[in-house]
Amino acid sequence: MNIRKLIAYPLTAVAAAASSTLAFASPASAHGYVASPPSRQALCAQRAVPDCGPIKYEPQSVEGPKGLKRCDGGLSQFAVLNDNNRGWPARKVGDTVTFSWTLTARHRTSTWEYFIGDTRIAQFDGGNRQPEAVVTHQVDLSDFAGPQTVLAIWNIGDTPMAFYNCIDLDVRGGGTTPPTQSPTPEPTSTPTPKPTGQPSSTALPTNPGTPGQPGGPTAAAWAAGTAYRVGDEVTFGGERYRCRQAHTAIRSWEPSLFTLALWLPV
Amino acid sequence: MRRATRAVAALLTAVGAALWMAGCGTSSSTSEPPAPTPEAVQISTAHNAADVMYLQMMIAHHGQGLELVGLAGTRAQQAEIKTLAAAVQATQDDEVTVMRSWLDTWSKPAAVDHDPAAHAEHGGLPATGPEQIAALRDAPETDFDRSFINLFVAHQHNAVEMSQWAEEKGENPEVRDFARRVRESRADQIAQLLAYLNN
Repeated sequence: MNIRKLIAYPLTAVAAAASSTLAFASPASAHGYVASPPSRQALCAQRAVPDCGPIKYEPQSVEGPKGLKRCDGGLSQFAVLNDNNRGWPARKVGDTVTFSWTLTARHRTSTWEYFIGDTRIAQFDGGNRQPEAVVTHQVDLSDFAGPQTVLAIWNIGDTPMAFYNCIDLDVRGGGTTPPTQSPTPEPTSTPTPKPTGQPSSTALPTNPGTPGQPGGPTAAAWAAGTAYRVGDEVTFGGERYRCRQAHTAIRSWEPSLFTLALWLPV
Repeated sequence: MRRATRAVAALLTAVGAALWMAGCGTSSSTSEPPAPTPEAVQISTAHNAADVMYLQMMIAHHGQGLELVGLAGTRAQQAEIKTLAAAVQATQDDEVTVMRSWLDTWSKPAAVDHDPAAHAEHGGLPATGPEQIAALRDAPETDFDRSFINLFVAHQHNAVEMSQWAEEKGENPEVRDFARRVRESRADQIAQLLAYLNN
C-alpha cells in the first residue's frame, strides 16, 4: 500500500486512531480531471459516450508517472481513453479556451501542462502548493485551428505522479466564448434506466393529460431519467406515490423510506 | 431484487403505521396525513468499526455538501442546477436524520473527533473544506455555476469513494445497502451535473 493511494480524508486519521487495521484506502487512486470542456473521462462519467468501462465511475483516477503523452496515463483498465475511434464529440471552441478542473484530493502541485501532439502550448506553475478551490486555466489556441486533441496534465508536487486528460476540441477561432451548441448528446435522458416493466415512453409525467397526473386513474411506473414535477404521480412496487420535490429521477431516488423528501405514498 | 423487496416491505410497514397513527390523532377528514419520517428506517445490531466510521464521516461530509447546495439553491444561474440542488438538499437532510438515528441506536456519537488538517500529511486535501465553501460563496455570478459544479462534483466523487469503502469493509447490511444507495445516486448526480456544465 502506497501512502499516495490513501485517500487523504479525515477518515484516515480516525482509522489510524481507532484501529491500526482499518485504513480508508481508495479502491483506486483518485484525484482530479478536466471537467470543462469535457475530457474523455468526463464524457464517460457524464454518459455522453457509452461503454467506457470503469473510468465512468472514477474519471479522477487517470494517474501515471510524469512525462507520459497518453490519454490513459498508461493504465490498461482505462485504455478506452486512447481509442480515437470511440466517437468522442469535439467541443467547438474559440481562440481562447478556459479549462476547468474537478479535484477530489488537493495535492500539492508542481505544474499544469497542456500539449497538442509534442508541442507544449501552455504551462501554469502550481508553486508546490495546494491548488486553489476552483482551478481554471485560459489557454490560447489561435495557432491550432481545426480539430485538435489537447492533452492536459496535472503534475503532482510531492509524488512522481501526474494526472492525464485528453480533450477533443474543434478550434474555430474568432472568440473566447464557447458556442452554446454542442455535439454532445443530451445526457440528462440517459442515466442508467432501472427496469420498470414499462417502456420509458409511457413514463413522461411532464406531458399534461398523461397518466401520472394527480387524481388520474393510473400512474406511470417510476423511471430513472424522467423529470418529475411536484404533484406528478408514479407507481413503484405496486404502490402509488406523489412527487413533493421536483427532480430528475436517478438510481436510488426511487420511492423509499430514504426518499420521503421526494416521494410520499398517496 | 431481494433487497428492494425488503425495502419496499419496510416502507409499507412504516407508512401503514403512520397512516394508522394519523387516523387516531386527527378528527379532520380533509387534512393530509402526516408524512412518514426517515427515523422509521430500522438498523440491525451487528456492526463493525467501519460501519460506525462511515456513518460518522458521512454525516460530516453531508454537512459540507448541504452548505454547497444551499448556496446553489439561491445563486445558481441555470434552473436545472437549482432543481437538482434543492432535491439533493432535501434527500441529504433526511439521510443525515437516518444516519444519526442509526448511530444513536448503537449508542455511538454522531460527531467525529478529529483534526481537520490531519489528512494534509498524506499529501492531499479532500475536495471540500471551509476554503472551498468560502470560495463558492465569493464566486462572481458569471462563474458561479461552473465553480459550483466543479466543487460539488468533486465532493460527490468523495462520497462515492467513501461508500465503496464502506460496502467493502462494513458489516452491517443496512449500512452497506445505504452505502450502495449513496454510491449510485451520487454517480448519477455527477452525470447530470457534468451535462449541465457542458451542454
